[in-house]
Amino acid sequence: MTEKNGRREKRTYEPPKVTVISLRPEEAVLGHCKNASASGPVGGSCAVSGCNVIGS
Amino acid sequence: MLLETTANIESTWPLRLCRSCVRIGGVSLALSQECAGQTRWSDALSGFTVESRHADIEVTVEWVDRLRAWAGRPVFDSGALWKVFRGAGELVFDITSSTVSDVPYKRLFSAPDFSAVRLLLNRQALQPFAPVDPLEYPTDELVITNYLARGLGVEVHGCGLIDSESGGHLFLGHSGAGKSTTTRIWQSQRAVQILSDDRIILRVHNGELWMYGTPWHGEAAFASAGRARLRRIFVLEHGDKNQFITMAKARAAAELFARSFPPFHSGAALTRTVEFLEQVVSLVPCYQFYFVPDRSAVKAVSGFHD
Repeated sequence: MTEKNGRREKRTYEPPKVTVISLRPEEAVLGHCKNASASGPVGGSCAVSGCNVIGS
Repeated sequence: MLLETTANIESTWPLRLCRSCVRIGGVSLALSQECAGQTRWSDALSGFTVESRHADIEVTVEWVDRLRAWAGRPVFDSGALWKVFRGAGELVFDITSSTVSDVPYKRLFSAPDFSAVRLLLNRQALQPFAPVDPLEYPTDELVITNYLARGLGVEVHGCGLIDSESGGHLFLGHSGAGKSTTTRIWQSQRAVQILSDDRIILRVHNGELWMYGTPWHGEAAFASAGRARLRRIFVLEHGDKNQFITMAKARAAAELFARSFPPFHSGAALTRTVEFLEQVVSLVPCYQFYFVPDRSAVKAVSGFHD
């Protein structure tokens, strides 16, 4: 409800909408291959296991 | 680079402990270890070292001859390098890589608030890689993000830069959204400091939103320890023209959460992360930024007003 010229006006009804938002767990969980430049044992892990390079 | 001694916290013959510090996202982390330890800072972390006697997180590093996998069922399995278990009043993280060893090459014992961490390095597994960085990914990120998850901040998937004229800009995006591309375009067009092309930490200070650079860079390999105040957040989307679409707060919070790195093993930490993001979207407007990957995108953002 909004005030206009002293009168309360009804807002137009908008039906609820469902929006799907991708969480991408393979990116949100730390410890997956992040990028090809990781050094040391972890970098080796990413290279050998064939993970995609996901850093962009 | 070998770890530099900034302060000796203990000198017990024959073991002498050295202490060194990094600060990431405004969180200081002190590393205490045997001075003769075969360790080094990674190139990325070198830019985040500081001289400090106070630390938010105290990490003690110990070499052990070998580690066996932690017995019991994990409370969370990352599906990749680490699993977390619940120990006696503490959390236990086992970090394992098949290319290093079939047993954990590192183990972290942490207080629930992540203010104190004991880090064990498996000598048998890591010897071939020496000198090693005790905080090598994902250790550093796990510790910092879990510490922040007390409602102090959140790490997000995005590139952050400081333009000499228009100030701080944050562009969030999943992999492939154009974070590194955006970084490179801005660098070619403007005088900018790149805080990271992949991961940024958000904090709130005195009712203002701030972003911090992290060592955890992306393809373009930009990482620096600066920070900047944010007045808005952009979520990158590919487009055939440059266009800004305002997001409702609920939508914005959900989009930010989908591009953040919360500790999934803790319901309480997830709740505080969502509450923090709610605070973020109440402080600054968030926009979907459909962009063309050329200099016109820089011009569009530079001239943008809420």
